[in-house]
Amino acid sequence: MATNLTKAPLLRKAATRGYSKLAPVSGIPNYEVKTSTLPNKTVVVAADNDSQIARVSIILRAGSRNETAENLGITHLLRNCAGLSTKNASQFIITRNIQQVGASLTATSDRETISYTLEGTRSAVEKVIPYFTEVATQQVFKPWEVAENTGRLHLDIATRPLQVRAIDLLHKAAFRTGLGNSMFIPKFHIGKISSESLQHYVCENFTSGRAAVVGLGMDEAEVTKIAQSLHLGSGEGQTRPSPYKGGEVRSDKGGDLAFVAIAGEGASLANAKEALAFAVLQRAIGTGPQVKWSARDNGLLSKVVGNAEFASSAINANYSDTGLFGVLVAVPAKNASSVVQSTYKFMKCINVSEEDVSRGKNQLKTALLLEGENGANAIENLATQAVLTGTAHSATSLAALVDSISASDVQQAANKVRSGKLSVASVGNLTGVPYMDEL
Amino acid sequence: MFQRLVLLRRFLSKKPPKPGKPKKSFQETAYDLAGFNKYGLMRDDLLDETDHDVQEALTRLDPDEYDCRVFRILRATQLSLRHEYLPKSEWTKFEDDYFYLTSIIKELHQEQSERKAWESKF
Repeated sequence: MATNLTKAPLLRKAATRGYSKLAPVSGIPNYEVKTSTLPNKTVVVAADNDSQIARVSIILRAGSRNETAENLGITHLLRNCAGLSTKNASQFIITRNIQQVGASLTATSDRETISYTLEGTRSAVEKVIPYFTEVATQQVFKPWEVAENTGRLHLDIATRPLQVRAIDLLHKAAFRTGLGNSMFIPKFHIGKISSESLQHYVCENFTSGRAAVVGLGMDEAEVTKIAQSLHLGSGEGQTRPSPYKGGEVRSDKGGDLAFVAIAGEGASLANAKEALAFAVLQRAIGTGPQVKWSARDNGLLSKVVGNAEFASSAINANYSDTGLFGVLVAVPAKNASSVVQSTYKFMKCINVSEEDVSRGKNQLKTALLLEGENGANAIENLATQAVLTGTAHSATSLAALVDSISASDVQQAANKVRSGKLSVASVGNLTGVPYMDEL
Repeated sequence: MFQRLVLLRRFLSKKPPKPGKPKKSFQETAYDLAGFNKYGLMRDDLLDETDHDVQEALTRLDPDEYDCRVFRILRATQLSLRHEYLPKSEWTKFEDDYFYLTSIIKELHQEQSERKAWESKF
């Protein structure tokens, strides 16, 4: 009998209206991104996507490229120190309060930036914002709390996969210092970095001119209020330029596989069109299988290397003043010689056809949109753009921009890599991996 | 002897007087009477190391400060065994004595009360 009830037209209408009123949990995808700059030069980005989840990020240009030889690895320690006691709140109170409302606080860092992100339901985020800003800007680094963190540094280093090592070493080979600094602390610096050094690093790099505050699922006024309440030093400081140099780094670690990364100079974030052209080229070369359980992608590199046993993915990293573009291959030690040789040869004569470009564009658009669907990725992208370029675009508008990239733009990008100096980094079992001068 | 010192220490655990006072204050007189300064000790050196809070505070102490504390205690033990005092010029002066450990213990107590308050709430 109950089923008959819904057949009454009036009830049916009410039911449909009720459901359609709810925004999807992940929010609407084509939200508007509002960017502004405060008088103290902090960039504020707000994007309200009607999601029930709110995310807010404080991001600073204080990544590992700002490290010097004396404090190498300090950003690794710094991101592990997120959540320790601050000027006005203890570690205990910070963690308990954030847990109690069901929010989550994370700190991530890359070569250029370090970011603190708070996520949770809207009401939860609103309640613990004061603790969040404390964690991001009011650190005190009590020596005994920092010392207790040493175990985590060892764990982080020990659990780095070789792929990550290869990319790290590739940066070292390509840039030497600055962008060449690893995102992980070198073993010889564990326990050697004092609280004073941490405090000094924070004072120097955590300034209002190097910061951005980004909110996703929050309205502009709220985000601006957070940005205005931050206690940051004034000024913009200086980021030392880190030009591409090129070279080779090898790290013999044994095992069955060799991981070899080969790359040349790519595009900087400052040139959005070139950066997108490189992103298309990356997809055209191939970023691993797109079909589950298949062994090979149908990218350019797979076609060149042929039937040998190997796996590969193209790499595209964009930084504020330069970039890195190349490929990473994983290969059993016994086949390494031929695969590395043909990969290197491929990098020296990359050639893309119209079809490759359109496949690359399609794949890139899908990847951008899929990534944008996940709020955590979306805010990370917005934040990085905001702090490095001063503006931010949503995934939807970036995907629309991909259409404007022509085949000749991509060919130009390929030409830049082809004609430039290459860098090679290899890690793992290197018995069969040729040296760069033998390639 | 030691117990007397501890009792007196409790009595003396107050802030030193404002500088520029000509006459010896009652506190200063009591400090000199207590006698531990003749061994070159400071007030916080007398805190009981079997106490958990003191143990925790010692782990938080600046390493240099900790080394100085150990040195002073060893020297005092040695002197006490030999029934000797330090030469008068090396006695700890009231104005040189500061609470290097008490401040940390106070912070510890604050943390504990914060924890207790939270646990009574949730």
